[in-house]
Amino acid sequence: MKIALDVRDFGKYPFLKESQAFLSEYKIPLDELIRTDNGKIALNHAVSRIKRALSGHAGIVGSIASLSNDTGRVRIEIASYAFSRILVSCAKDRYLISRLTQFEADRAYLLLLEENDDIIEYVASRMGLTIEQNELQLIPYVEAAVQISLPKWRLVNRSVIRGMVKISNDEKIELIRAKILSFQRQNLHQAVPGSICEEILPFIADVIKEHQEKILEQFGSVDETSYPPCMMAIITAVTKGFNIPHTARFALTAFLHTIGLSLDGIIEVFSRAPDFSIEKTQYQVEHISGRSGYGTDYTPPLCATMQTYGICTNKDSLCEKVNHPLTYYKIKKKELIKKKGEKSGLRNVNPDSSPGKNTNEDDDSSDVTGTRSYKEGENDDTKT
Amino acid sequence: MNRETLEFTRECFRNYYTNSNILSPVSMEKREWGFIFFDLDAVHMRRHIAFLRAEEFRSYLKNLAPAHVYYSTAYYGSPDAPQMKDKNWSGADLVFDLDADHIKRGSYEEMLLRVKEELFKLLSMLTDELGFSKKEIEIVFSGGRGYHIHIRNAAVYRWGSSERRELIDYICGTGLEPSAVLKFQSDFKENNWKNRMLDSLMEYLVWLDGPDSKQAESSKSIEGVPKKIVEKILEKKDFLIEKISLGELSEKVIDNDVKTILNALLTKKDGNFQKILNERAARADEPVTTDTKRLIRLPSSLHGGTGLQVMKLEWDKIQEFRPLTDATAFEDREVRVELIKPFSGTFSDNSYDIKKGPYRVSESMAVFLFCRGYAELGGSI
Repeated sequence: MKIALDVRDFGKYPFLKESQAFLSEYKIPLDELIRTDNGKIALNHAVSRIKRALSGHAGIVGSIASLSNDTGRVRIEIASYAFSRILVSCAKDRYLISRLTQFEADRAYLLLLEENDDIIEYVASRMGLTIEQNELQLIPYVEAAVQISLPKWRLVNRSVIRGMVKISNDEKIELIRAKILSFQRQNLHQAVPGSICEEILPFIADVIKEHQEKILEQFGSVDETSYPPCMMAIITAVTKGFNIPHTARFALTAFLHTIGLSLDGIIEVFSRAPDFSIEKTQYQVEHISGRSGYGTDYTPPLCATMQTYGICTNKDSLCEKVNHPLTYYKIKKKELIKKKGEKSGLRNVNPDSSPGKNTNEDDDSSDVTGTRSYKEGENDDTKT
Repeated sequence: MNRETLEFTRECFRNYYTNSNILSPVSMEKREWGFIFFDLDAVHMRRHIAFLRAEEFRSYLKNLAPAHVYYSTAYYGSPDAPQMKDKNWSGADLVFDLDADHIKRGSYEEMLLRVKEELFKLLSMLTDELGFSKKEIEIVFSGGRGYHIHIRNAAVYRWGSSERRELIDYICGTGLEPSAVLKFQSDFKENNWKNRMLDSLMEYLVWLDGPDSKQAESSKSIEGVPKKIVEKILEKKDFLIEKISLGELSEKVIDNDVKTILNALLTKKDGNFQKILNERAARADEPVTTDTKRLIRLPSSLHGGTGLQVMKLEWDKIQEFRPLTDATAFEDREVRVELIKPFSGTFSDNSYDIKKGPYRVSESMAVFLFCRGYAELGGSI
């Protein structure tokens, strides 16, 4: 396949090796680049990139609309990709990393939809997916398909002949997105020397501030009365000192982390247990909420997964309408704020009126593809 | 097993480990090892053990003559770390486990025969469908009631549970979704789950119209399908069977009623349709494949529950392989045994149907009877 990407394509797909090579024409390493004027421009651009990643679909569209053919701007675009990774890695926040990961995959997906077959297959092959005549090899297929939870992607629902899997034309780009997603899950987060993080501290602070504002917008301040019954049940169990299963501990921690409870706040919840051990709890909570810096991104499980684990309890009428504990929380909270507002006439943080509100109500649940990759606890007693 | 029998059996194992060529797994220094010993008390596994060289574990086997020998399918940086999280996992072989226990109850010979059918189905799916080469597939008789398949392929070695689950689900036909399966284009002679599902449907339709289903039919629905739809389907049964067998799958053939019935049947895990479908799957044990830190028996070691060899098999030998003759491990000398319960079955080409009491049998059979709890070491006859 002979095909050359033009300059503009580098900005579209900054994660490709050739795009990164284009960046090397700055002729100085990234850690020195941050001290130059160009570097400052790129850092600002990186902050915008992350803010866009936190703004859902509108952010992606904005990012695509601002793409330029100008060589200098393309270079800044690619540098902003590299810097945004550094920024979220320094911020050490799993949620930020996960949003940026999703953003990069979705952005590439929307761009690919407009490309011709040559470009599509080229980008696919650069991501390790060699798709020819709507067929690809089993191993790369499986590695990409596990990222998508829809049944049609399960191998059992495919025609597989001598290790070749058939996919339709439309499915190509979906599969590439999945592959970019898994590539970014493994590579986006990187180890950044502390000295560099220190140098770009104001930019990191800007990103974290934006992140916290978005959480407030989405979820408002943390409100325990809006927790779904399953989470309340787990908290009650913890408080009473029951030994809760790992899956429940995981679900609760991920839930509390996502709605914006601080690390200390989460530990406080677990400290209600009579046999509370601070070291153990801190380790677990840090691991799940991403402070320990390694692993998949942990989103709280879907209702269906909670059911599978047997920890979907005390279902109420609102539960029937949602498929994710986070959606329950959002709706319940909105209702409560409304009621309070009516009673007292207070103007509270109202998620409905916030300007950057995510238009997709079920956003949290629709992109929860990580549920399949959640690893069970260590199996210590297994032999065959 | 009494003390004398136990000592005797252990000595037989020791002789075997002293005089046989014991295989060493690829990258043996990165594996965790686990052993269960002949012990009068509780069964306990000693694990988190590592060896740097093959000679070390071979002399370990000679000296301690364990009843069961396992190694990890995983490769670790520190295989002997006592905590799993400290072992530094770097990858694992892909394994499949066929155990008659999950497939058929019955006599030992029957189970072994039945599990061999599963083996052939599994091997053909692995090669003809999933595309693994014969070279990378190692077939091992487990020494007990089944077979282990080890696949050594550098490309899958870093796979986690989710990726491995895709393969085991394919092998077992788990997660079939009619709407998705029916959509893909394929030749009707091809081996795939679309054809297996439709073949099962044909077989099910025949059953549904037969005497066996009459009892079920008296209820309002059959296996979750409303009776009305069952009646409609039965009316055009012959048409359906003909069209499906010719591979003519137009909208008219596979209409909404057919989809409804397939969806309903697939959710009925203990129903007759699922049973028919399972016949077309290879029923390998799911957790063994998805667990990336499994311990598995070492090929060429002995199985302490039978005294048979965990035996690596060549592709062209599988068909003729008879576990109870070919996997025996001991000498021909006769041993006196005291049968403590009646035994009927085959061993080394001989059929037995013997009552309690004293007998003289070959060493291999003696160990087999001891390990399976049929006999103790005998006194004089």
